[in-house]
Amino acid sequence: MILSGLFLLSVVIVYIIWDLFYKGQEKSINPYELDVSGLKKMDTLNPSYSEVLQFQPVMSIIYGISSDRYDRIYIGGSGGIEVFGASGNPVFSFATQDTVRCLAVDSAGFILLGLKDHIAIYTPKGKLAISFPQIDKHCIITSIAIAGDDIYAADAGTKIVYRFNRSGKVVNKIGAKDPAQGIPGFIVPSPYFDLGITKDGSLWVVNPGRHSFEQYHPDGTLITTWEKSSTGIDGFFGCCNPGHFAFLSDGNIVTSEKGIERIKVYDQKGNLLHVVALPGSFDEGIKGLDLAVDSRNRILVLDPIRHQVRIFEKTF
Amino acid sequence: MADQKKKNKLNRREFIFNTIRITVVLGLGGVATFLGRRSLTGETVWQLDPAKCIQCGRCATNCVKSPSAVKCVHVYDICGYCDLCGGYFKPNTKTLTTAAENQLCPTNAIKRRFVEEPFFEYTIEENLCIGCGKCVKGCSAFGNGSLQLQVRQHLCDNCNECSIARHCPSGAYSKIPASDPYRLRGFER
Repeated sequence: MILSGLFLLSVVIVYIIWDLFYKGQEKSINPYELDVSGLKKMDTLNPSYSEVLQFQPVMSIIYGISSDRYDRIYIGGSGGIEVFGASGNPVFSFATQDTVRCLAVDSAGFILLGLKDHIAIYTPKGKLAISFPQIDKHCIITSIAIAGDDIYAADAGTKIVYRFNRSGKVVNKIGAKDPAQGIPGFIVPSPYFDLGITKDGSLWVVNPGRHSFEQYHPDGTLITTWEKSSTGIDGFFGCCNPGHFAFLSDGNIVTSEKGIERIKVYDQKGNLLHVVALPGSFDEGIKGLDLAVDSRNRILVLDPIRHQVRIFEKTF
Repeated sequence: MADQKKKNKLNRREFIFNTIRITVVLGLGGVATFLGRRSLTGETVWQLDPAKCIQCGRCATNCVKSPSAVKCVHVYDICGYCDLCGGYFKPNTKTLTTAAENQLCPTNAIKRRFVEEPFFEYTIEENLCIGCGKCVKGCSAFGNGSLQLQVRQHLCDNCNECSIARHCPSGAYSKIPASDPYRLRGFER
């Protein structure tokens, strides 16, 4: 009798414990919660690249990355510019008055900097050569590139690409909406607006609100365009993607995205060729994965959350 | 003897008047003290911090009000007015139309209005919003984060112990001054 009483009591105690501590966990599953993790599960995909090196810049906030013909790596950010060797060894650094948002290095080693609302050119030794006047009071320069004597700057503020000469004069503006010429106009909901120059000197610009790439003649004529909107691996999804891109030596395009954090390689017609890195390689919510490619076709990724330069090499 | 009675009557009347006077003075004093304390210490209200919010959906299910006093608020200043809006469309939507099966919102509380090619404006119908935060999560994950959850003060009972705050897994709820009752990033139109 006493034993059965104790048994019943223990059953009641076990039930109370289950009700208090375990049943609550079942209740915590909320039918209203949006689960976006499924979009980032890409277990079946096998990246063709692997990460081979990481190193950390000193400056506190990092925004832009570029490389020169000697494969030196230039990082721009809150303090100015830091230059590293191909293996991540510090080479030199210099300070700038304003925060560097983007940068490019020409074949002679001159360093072009996008400093929010204007452009500055520094000598290879880090001395200021010329500072261009302010482009516009609403200007936010997000990308800069050079082709011979032409300097191109993407302005997310006025949603236009400016073409300058070396003395800072605006030669022409590119990409303003013009239905008669078939130019759709840039849609830039947030300050992710990248451009790049291929080895043969042609200008490519991301139209981030349309998930498209647009190729322009220097005079502003639209040559071609391709668009890929999709949550799938072969497309771009969300606001302002791809956030950044760079060219491989064969002209193929390396892209980085925010939202679904990933890096991929496309040909110039928009066909997906390779996956470089998938969402699992990055911290959730990362934005501003700026890219550069060195002469060995290594992909240099600026990771602003881990505060690293991460280098990926093709493995197969 | 009669004079004495008359004197007593007068005293009673005086007593009643004095009582009324004292009651009025004490009442006024009490009200003044209450108002004074309120202005000095500051009344507070419950609000959630969008920077801490993880859009778990508990704001919809744990508020004592039905529907919840938490609503989605659209901060237009940071909206991209995108055609493919991560807060409006389900992630794998094939066509960008207002068909119910394409919409992320379970109550059809977001209205999509064409502005000009290719821009669309998204407006929250607050009486339909249940504060689940699905749109907020979609907008944060794939957009600019212009959709944000907030406790609507005109709907909130301002309970001493907020039921949502008790269940919030990210500690996003706190009491803030009633004089500045919202914590939006950007500006609300």
